[in-house]
Amino acid sequence: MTASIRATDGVSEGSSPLLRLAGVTLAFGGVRALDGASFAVAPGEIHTLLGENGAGKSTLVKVMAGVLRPDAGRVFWENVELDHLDISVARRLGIRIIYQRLSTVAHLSVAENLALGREPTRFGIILRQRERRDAAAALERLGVSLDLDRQAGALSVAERQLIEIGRALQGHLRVLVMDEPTASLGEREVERLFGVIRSLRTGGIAVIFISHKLAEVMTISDRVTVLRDGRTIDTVSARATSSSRLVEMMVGRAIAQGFQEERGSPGTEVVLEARDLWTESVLRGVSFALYRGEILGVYGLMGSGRTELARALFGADRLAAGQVLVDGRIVAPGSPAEAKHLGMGLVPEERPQSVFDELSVRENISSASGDLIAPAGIIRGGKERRLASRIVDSLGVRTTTIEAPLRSLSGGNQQKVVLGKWLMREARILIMDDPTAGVDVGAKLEIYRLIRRQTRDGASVLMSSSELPELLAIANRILVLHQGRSVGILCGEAMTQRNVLHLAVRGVAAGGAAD
Amino acid sequence: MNAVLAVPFGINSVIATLGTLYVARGTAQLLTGGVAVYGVPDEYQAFGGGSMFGIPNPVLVMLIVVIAFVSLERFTLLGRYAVAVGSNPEASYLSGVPGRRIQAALYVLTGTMAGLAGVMLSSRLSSGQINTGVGFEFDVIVATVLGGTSLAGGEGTVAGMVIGALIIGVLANGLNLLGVPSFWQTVAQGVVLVLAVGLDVFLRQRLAARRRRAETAGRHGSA
Repeated sequence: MTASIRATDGVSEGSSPLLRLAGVTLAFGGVRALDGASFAVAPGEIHTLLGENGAGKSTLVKVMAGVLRPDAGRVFWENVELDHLDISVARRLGIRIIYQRLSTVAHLSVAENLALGREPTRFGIILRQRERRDAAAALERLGVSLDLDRQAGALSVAERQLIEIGRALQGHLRVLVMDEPTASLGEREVERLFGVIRSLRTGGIAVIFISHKLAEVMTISDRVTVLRDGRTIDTVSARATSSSRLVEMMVGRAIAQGFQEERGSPGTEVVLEARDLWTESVLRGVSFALYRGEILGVYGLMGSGRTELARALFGADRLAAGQVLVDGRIVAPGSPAEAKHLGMGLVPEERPQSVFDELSVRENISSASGDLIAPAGIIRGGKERRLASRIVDSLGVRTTTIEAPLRSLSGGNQQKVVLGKWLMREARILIMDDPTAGVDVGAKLEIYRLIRRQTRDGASVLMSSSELPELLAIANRILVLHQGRSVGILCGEAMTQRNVLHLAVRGVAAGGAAD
Repeated sequence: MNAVLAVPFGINSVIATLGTLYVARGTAQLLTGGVAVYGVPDEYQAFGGGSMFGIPNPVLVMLIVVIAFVSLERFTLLGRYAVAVGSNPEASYLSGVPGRRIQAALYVLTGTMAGLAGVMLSSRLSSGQINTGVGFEFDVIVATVLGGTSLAGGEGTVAGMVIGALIIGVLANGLNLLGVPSFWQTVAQGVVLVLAVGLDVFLRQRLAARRRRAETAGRHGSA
């Protein structure tokens, strides 16, 4: 609540907030996506929502758009409390969201896409001339030029984004929310988008911008609201804040403080080695060695090849060049089935890729161990239950019974099950691609402990993460990727946030810190 | 044959099956010139027409097949993997489940069962008639969907399918006994299918909506 008061005070131009949310709480199952978050946006301002993955940014935005109903909290529009906010109310008020997944129709032209849903018609016949005229006008308002007859499918992401903005502008628009619009844009495209956003601001539209690229945030925003763990940390003026202060607010100290266990001491044998790995499209030469009992962190910005590396090592994607060695022998896992028999296990980036939600916890845990529980194709039910129960107990998976369907578990517990799937077959090389994405802080700590415990028992872990503090806290060394290449491995004293980020962003070491 | 078409090329399984069905039916017509084949041996007739322990053979065969398939479903890796591949192909692949082999094996099994059904039918009628099987493909789909199998894959049980088949059988028989003309029976079947599939879609959407909520909770931040 204090944050929301501060937020309203912060509008310096003397304008009162257009949309204000106070004390919004929203929980699904065991996860609190929002925990008393507050937020206010004024007309004619660009307001950024900043926070790590899982901080609650997208959920908060969905509440504003009426897509999700909060469990508690109040919503004000021009200082009048709304008794409810659903999609149609939000639309009537002029609140529009542009999601990361764009909703342009690939097989329709630019003009048709701009008119989509509000085509000018007479007696049910589309007035094509008018449609084109309106489209041209909309594009002019945005200050961009696009061929009206081109199919949207042939346009770049940036261009399709502009179409969506144009579409929003054609209706009644007061608040425009953009969910990570710059995630897949090049520098010049970002500049153009920012130009458009600024012109919207001049037109009195409130723009809410979601991003976690700090430099951008500092450039474009008037004010910044930082969210963490579903709470509003603070709302500050972008001009009066430094980016390091924002990072501090975003990251907090919770994780580092909550995880002070001794790092294990890895052995000297190399269990997994990659020599100059290339894939068709992303990897451009990745090399590293993973030691027995080691946690090797993998860090890189979006598009640096973290996920591709994990998949290629596990045989899920084809390597174009390079060698993978397990225990010093060259192997070439051509499929996950082969990789699994080499003692590897993959915890993929997105949980939908790794779980069977309709199947039971037991069936999920044994899904990679057919050869163990059914030697001749006939499942030994007793053995399966015994092994699965043991995994559930040792990982502390919170479920009523091993027969419960997986979807009844919380995200963190589902992730433990995915890990358990590989522990059941005693995988020695665990490849984990952002294993704590989208799980709450408590479950994260548990997952860290489990990973540590596995390495003490002799397993080796290659773990990538989008959250650097997490890797700094848990990894023995950090491999940094930049545009598909391995640009350095940092360890010991050199393994600092500054050094890793420098490598990840620039691709070269800061003051010779990399080995 | 269906396995060869559907597994490596990714042709929709229903389309592949219907395609080969028409090819096979056409070939049969070419071979017989459209005339029924009579004069099957008595032993062959006894297989479908006779009975054992007072139970008609077709019922016995059905029981054996059902028991075999329920066991396959419950106790074998093939059964387990069939559900896994159907419900999440990507997760199955990343778990090292041989998805294509499983699918191929299932096609072969279904083909074998269709063959068995054909043999039973011709034996019972003691003749080979081109048009006896017409419309069965439809009955099969209706029975399967009624039994709770998802056409999208990953859901359904052998027991449910048996119940679905019984409903279809009872419906047809009941309509016969009531003296409903066969044209209307066809209409009724169509209605039942659309209702069943409609219900399936409806329930699935509700489930998906609930899942979306849960998923948003799972990531509850920016993706």
